[in-house]
Amino acid sequence: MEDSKIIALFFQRSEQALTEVAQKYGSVTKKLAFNILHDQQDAEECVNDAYLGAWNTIPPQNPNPLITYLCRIVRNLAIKKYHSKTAAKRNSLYDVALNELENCFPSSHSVEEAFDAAETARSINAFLKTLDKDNRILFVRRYWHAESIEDLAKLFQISPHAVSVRLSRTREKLKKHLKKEGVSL
Amino acid sequence: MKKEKISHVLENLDIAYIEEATIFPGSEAKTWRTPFLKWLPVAACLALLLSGCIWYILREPSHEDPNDWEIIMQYSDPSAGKDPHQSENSSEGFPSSPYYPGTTDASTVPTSSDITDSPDPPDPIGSTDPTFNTESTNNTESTAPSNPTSSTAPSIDPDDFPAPGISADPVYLDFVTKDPICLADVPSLPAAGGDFHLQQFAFPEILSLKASERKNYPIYANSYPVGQAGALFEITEEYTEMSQENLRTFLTLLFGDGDYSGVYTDYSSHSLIYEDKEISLAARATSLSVTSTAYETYSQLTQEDLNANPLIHAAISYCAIEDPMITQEIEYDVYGNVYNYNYIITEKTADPQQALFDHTFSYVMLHSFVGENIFVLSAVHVEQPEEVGATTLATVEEIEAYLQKSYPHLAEKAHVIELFYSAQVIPGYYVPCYRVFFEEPELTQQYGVPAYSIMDLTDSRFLS
Repeated sequence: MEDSKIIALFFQRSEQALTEVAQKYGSVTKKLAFNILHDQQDAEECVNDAYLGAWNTIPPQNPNPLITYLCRIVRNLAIKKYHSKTAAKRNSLYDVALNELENCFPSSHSVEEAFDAAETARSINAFLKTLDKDNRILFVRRYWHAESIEDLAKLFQISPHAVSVRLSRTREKLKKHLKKEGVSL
Repeated sequence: MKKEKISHVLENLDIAYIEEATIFPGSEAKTWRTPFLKWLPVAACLALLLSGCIWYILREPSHEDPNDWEIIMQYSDPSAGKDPHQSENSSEGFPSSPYYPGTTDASTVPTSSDITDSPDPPDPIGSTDPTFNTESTNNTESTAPSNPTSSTAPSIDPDDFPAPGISADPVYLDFVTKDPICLADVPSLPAAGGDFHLQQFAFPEILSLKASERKNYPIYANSYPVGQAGALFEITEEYTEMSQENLRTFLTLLFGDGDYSGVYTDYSSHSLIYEDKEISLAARATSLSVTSTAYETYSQLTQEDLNANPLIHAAISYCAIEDPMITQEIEYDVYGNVYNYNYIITEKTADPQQALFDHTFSYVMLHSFVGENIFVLSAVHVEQPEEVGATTLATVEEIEAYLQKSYPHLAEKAHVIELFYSAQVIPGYYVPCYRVFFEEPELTQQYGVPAYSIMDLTDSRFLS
């Protein structure tokens, strides 16, 4: 079913909308949640919560594309659950991805330096703008979607090694960019 | 805490970028303007076989204490892929062959129990890397030039040929010695490429010499070294003329007599490009490479194919190979599936030193890509490379001793040691190097094909 028809079902408050969403985007959203949580049950709960979130926000929201909207909800919920978990969960793909990114961000040298997530994100957005489309998508899929290297290799039809190298180069560029902009965490 | 901040930052990424990534359907087979262009990078890599090299800062040669080994890079494992330089000069130019049968014998592979004070290099065994297998076959039968079909292409202004680059000016290198050879690892840069591949070309007759019988081997000038940025030599009028002559020669062999002056349609770096409906040809001063979709790929190249395929036929004639010997290599991807068949065609010889020379300076290499129906062919023919020095070869015992000292946990896994000429070590020169293959039983079991990791060694004085 097309997204517009699913949205129409949401607007009609038809529960068929949730069935259609689950059928069309269930695997994608579950995969995203699992990437972050590394737990099948938690991932399913997260996805169900996301469907409820979509139900509660559409309308008035009329997201286009719908998949991105759903993924953002899933991710936010998954991250929240991730942070609430103990170190036992810290072996997920998301944790691995964060480990990779950690070295890109210079550490604050003083406690007075305030952390401004929005400002830092603005700097990263500016950096992403300088990347070519493939590398930008690769970066986002890795660090926002927390996708595995192997999955990215299949997605881009390149070898896992090539994915790692490209990500490594992008991180190196990001590190320089953040250093140049004086961004620290 | 820092991770939480990063996570929080990521939540604020531009929605447009998230959408872009989320709806990205995945890469499809790239659509190229012509199928030939897809393989031009491969052809360019093959071109690097001729003369590519990596710049290393040269220090004055000195004779080092054998106990003071210089480790430039401790290990070059297959996961690093192949550096374009390396593949061009040091390995792609060498054919595969059956493994050296003697190296698995306990008497030739030392144990690691007696070395305890050596450095502790990184262990490559844990890497999850692709595998390879080789098989070889030999055929001998001469070939004759193919019948022509005429072809013309628009010419471009020869003045557009690339501007001069860096000139390499070899000087005489004397590394002859009676003392033990100090070895060092050949630096290997990770490449932004995918699956690695290996060649094997063992010359046990040479390397198994005892120290008292050690041989001196020539060092050759590499007149046309190529780096990642392109030609490292000055592109002179002479070079351009040689490239054009090579192009004319090959087209004549392929299509028959005709006027092939100025038929090249473009140039790329240091290559003249000729394209028609069936082939894309890059010609250089001492080599050329061809990509084509017009012919069947080969899972088993036979002597009949050498005659039947006009491209191979012409390439063999171009290299003046009269009694061709075919060596086959099969490459496997990370899943253990065959993805490439390579063939190296050289003049048949029983003299290992001549074979080593031929596999460096006069050979045809064919890459036949499975499922793609495209193959890339390169032909290298340097009639008389200039000898600009000499060096004493290390013995197997010295190589094993080096491994024992520097990589005691790997030494027992050494399976094959092969000799090859590399243009990677010193820009502007071909120098002898040694490639050690280490058994990887876990990967072999995992992928079901023999898996090996590799390490390249050379005389440390080349690197100093």
